[in-house]
Amino acid sequence: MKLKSVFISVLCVLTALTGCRQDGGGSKGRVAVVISTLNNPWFVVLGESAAQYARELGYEAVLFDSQNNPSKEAEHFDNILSSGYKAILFNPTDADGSTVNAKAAMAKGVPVFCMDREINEPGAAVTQILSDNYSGCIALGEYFVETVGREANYVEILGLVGDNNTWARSRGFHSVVDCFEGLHMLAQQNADFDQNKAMEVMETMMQANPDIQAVFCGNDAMAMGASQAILAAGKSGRIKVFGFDGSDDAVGAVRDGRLAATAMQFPKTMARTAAQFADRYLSGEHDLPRKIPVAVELVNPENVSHFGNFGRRD
Amino acid sequence: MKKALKIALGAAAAVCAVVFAVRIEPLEEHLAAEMAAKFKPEEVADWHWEHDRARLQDEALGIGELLSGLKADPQAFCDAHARVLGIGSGSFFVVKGTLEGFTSDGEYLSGDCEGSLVRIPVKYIFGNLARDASGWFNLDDFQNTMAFNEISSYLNSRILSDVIPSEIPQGGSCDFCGAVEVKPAEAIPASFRVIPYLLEFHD
Repeated sequence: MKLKSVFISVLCVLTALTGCRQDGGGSKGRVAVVISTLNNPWFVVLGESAAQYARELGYEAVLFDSQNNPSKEAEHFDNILSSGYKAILFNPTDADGSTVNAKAAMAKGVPVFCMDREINEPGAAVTQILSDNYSGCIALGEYFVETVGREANYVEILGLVGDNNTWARSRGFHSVVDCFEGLHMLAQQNADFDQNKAMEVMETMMQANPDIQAVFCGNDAMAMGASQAILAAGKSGRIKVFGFDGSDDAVGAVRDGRLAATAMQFPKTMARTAAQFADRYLSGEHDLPRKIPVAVELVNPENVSHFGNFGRRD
Repeated sequence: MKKALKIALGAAAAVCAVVFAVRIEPLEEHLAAEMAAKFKPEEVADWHWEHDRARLQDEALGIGELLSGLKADPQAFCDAHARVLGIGSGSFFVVKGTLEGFTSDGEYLSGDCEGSLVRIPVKYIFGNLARDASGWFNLDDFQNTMAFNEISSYLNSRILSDVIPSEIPQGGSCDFCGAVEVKPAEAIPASFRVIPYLLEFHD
């Protein structure tokens, strides 16, 4: 019996110590950073930056990976809401499906600040800080027409069908290219923002459509996957690849010609803004804008030297 | 006993029918959903288009005024006169002027206005510039960004149908009022691309 008590006491002390190390030791309370997936470098930067900015503002920050799985995300929210967190910096897995989690947190008085990905109910988060995907893809669409030409065959690889960013990007791109009758989309398929899936999708698309001149991808991971498939098929230089995100490997690929262009989102800006807004809200400032778009910039061979490290160099 | 069981089952069924026939939701959520259902972005855009478009001319800056302001202190001028959208966006202005002796290549009207080259697209109009420079819309009023972006597509289509004539007159002059984007951190552009809200051609 004594041994059991000692064991439990030691366990409690260890748990407490582990908790402190994990949380970073801030004094204003704990902030949860819930990220849709940490299997993509862009989201790792978003999550780690949000945690870092929260710590700089005096909070303990804990990072949660939802693994692109709404059930996992719901589990995280259950844990967060029963563990006394002050706020949630949230990158949702699904525009509709994640709403219930955000609403549950708000109902319990834990403010939610969305980063990059949108949820479809404006009141379910205090503020949503979102890339202006639509405008970014208009710029990409215009550059696509400029470089591919007004007569060409192309394919499109979409991200997650349940994510608003997927459609904002696709619609922005199509609002331009659909104006040109000579541009024919031969196929459109989703690859869930995943590099390996995109590689497989691109292989299949090339087999079914030998005459492809360009591929528009909803993010850089998929663009890199498509690029690998093109390389393996011996078609490098014959199919122009367009991505979106501004990840470091994609910016490098624009520099060395494997990608025609990408669009720089600014994950660190979004993360910093979310952390600052959470701090302002927790300090009593409740009159905050519900949505804040963050501009996206075209990255092409002409201006690529200005970009890197998930932002502008200058 | 059997009769009692039947009554109990019947009562349970009746209770279930009543419970599942009624859905209880917070009043605030219900009103928000009702508002969202009533909100028609195209109707809002139409209303502004009909009521506020002419007013844009009153607030518009002359091209010369824009140029001299940008030359003097671009950031201060943009802070004082431009509209912006969120973080890192360009600065949006409503401008007006007259193109004397313009030319048209089928896609753009081009001409000199107060010493600057002005280019007005007349075939393809993309993007959010007309929406964002107008100041008519607030992102917070929309259910999601997709609905907000649909406003742009709709406004652009109204510009193509209502503002751009099916046949561009040759020669003469053209009064314009439209939207322009400037990036204060960059060099002053050699030409201004103006999305038109109003065009008036003269012989």
